[in-house]
Amino acid sequence: MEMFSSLLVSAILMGCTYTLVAIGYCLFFGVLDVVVFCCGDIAIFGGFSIIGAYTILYSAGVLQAVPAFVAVLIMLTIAAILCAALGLIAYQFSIKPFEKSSTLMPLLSTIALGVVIKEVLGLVFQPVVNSIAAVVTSVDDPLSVVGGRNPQAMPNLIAGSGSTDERNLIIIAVTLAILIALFLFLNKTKIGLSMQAISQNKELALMTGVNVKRTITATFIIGGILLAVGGFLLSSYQTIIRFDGGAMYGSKGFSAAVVGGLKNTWGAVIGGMLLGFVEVFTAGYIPGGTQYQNIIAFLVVILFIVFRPEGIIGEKSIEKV
Amino acid sequence: MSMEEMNLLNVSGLYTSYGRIPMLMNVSVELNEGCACCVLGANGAGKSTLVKAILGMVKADQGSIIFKGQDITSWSTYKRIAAGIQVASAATGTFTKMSVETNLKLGAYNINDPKLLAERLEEIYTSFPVLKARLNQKAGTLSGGERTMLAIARAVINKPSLLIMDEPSLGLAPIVVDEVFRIVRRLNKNEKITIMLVEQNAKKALSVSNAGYIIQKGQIIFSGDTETLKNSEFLENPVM
Repeated sequence: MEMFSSLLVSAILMGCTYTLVAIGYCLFFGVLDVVVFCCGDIAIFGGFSIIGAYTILYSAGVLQAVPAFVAVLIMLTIAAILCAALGLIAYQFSIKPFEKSSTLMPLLSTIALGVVIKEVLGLVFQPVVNSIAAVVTSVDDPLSVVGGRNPQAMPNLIAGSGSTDERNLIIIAVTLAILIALFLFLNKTKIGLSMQAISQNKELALMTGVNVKRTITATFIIGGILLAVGGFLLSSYQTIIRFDGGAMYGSKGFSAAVVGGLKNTWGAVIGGMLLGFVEVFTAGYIPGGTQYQNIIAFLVVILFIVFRPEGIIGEKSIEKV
Repeated sequence: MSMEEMNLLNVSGLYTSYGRIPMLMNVSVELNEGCACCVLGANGAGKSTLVKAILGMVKADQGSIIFKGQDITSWSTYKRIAAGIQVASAATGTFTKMSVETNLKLGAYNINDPKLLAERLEEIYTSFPVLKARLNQKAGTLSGGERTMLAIARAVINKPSLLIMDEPSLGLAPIVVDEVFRIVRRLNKNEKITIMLVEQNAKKALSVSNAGYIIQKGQIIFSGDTETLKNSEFLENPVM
């Protein structure tokens, strides 16, 4: 029973981190009808921005001067701004130029951008951060190529006391708070409603007078902030962060979004949780399951694509010719 | 018409294309304030393209669109809507996953004053009682007729200077079509909204308008007042 409850907590935590990136996919897909494949890398970039902000602010003595709570908020704000900016860059340079071409183009160009983000993180950002403060872990990583590209230790910034239980609780609370804020934003504000309008019927949204360009820009800012928080929670939960972790994190998030129904934000929450549960319980109950958790998780996704392609709460879409 | 006739919309020499295929060729349409004007044409004649060009959803290759004396040819769609053009399009439909009320509130996109919005909503509820009974229902669950009413109400809530109605009778039962055209007449006569009615149903459309255009293969082949149109040979064309 004890094992079950601890697995349950891990599953929820895993689900929380997947949910945020899945919602990012949903929001972008909603307004653009394009899968922005670099979401995972943007989130990892967010995690690294936090470490960067932490090392810089810590050596400047700013973080010690303010309460821990404020310090985390400051770092989160910095990461959110950077990720929002990266989101806008992604839109401007890898999606907008292909507006009129087939949807395959932005798909490829966002994958390419993801690779660029990953490599820049690995080649430039991580060594710089490492040289400012020696927080490199001693973890031996067989995949690391050069020094300084080892997994980066994520300092336990969330829980003041350093306890894991407190950290876990805060991760869940932050995710819940973000979901509530997102719900209010989507349903009560004009920009949120415009985003939904574009997602449901773009032509009618245009005819209604929605400023589509401004709404898309806003979506990338919101999405960037969500991804920054997602990256922060993920790296805090895993206690390490890898520059090349974006591909796996991104594909998990994308899978969660597909399982939930790509245009449905709440489906993404369910999809994320489902994926988290499948993974954690596979690792927990199947002997040697840790090695198979990803395989089983993606198997579930494949089953969904085969038997319920519209997702858990998605609606069947009929493509008009 | 005793009202001072003022030119509200003036489309002149408009050309548009879809890729390399020309769609509209030298289309000119003039609408005076307060009039109800119909644009008739068969499927694929270019009616909807004309509507989209007026809204800025299709680029004008040549020609100009003047609205309220301003050249709006290069304006983006949301700016044109803010200037007072609204479309009720049966084909474009509604936001199906949102409630009727949210549809109406989103429709009133440019009304930022909550008091004014509440007033306008009340007005809509009195003139479209069908919708009042369905406020919290998702638009996707409405009947075809109710959905058309919602599409019209969504546009009318803004009290537009120009209301473009894109095939409001599309796919409706004859009895509902009559109701829709009664609403068209009321909006034009009582609420003094200038209406551009784009229709395939020539007989019905002519019964509520005072001028008309016939569009065929992307060109205006006839324009004139309703009486001349009714007697014209073009309406006898079986394609119409």
